Amino acid sequence: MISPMIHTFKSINVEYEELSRVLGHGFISTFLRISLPLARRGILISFLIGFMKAFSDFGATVMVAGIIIGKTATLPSMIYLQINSGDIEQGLALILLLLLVSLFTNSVMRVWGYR
Amino acid sequence: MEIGLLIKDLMAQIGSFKLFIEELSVYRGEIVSVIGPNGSGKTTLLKTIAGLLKPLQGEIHINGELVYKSHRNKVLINIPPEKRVVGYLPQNYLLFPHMTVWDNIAYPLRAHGSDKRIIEERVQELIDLLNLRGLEKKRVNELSGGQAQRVALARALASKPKILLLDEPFSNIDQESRESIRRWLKEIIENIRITTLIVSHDPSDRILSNRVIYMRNGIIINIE
Repeated sequence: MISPMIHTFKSINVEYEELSRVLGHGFISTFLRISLPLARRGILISFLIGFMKAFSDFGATVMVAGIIIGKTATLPSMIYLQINSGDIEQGLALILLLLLVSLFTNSVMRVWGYR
Repeated sequence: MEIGLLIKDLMAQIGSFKLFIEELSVYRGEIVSVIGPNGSGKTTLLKTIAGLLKPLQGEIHINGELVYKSHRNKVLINIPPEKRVVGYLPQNYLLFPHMTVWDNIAYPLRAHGSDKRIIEERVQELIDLLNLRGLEKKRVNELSGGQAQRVALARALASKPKILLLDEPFSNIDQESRESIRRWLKEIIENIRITTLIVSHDPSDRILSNRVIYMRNGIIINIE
């Protein structure tokens, strides 16, 4: 999440920020009025990438925190638990939910990325 | 006549390129063109005056106020760009893409915490002056080259700057429209009587000005 955000800020044309200074705005005002709005798309995409990574995490969660329902269980670990315990219906429902959230997040990222 | 811009013993460096101006003075309200080929130091000179580039040595006075002075590598005075009250029109206009035409013009006024009513009056005044009526709510990416230039000029003039710096103002305008826009720009600048430095690589832009400075390799080679 941090890496795309750094890339976003680095990709802003520094001349906009320089011009803002010449037009009378100080460093903080320039950051709030120019840098941040110009980076907003990249910031949102970075958040979505971070969200998707956390939302779909399996290995690290199981290794470090285990699968405690309502506390440490993530959606993929719940799918694993349900399928393993033979509750295929609930497992498939959770897979569908994961798929819908992933599709929605990816669509938002694509729309914002191409704008 | 009062001096609008005075530069003495100025030396600035970007990489291996060096700019050296022994002395340059521009009277208040005077329009001066700086003509030279690419890489002659014209934009470096403008950026130095605007405060975007810190010189190695020298003095810069704007309307009698010392805005930069350094001596033997020691900076004695360096007023930051936001406090120099300079109007700057960059070569590619650099209109803020996330703002409307109105917000772009109002941008410098918001820096000074001006009253909302004063901002509205000043923006409206500039919209009338530069014939931008009807474009106020447009996003800047919807503008033509000529419209974008007028918005950028309105923004540069909004805070009633002490000096106006124009960097290649006609480079994005097609050859056919240049002549009429040159005449129009000259009229606008003469009417508001502002000290103006116009930088260009095109010698035909000299008709805009009272005096012409020719630059090459970072130094002034001739003044007409």
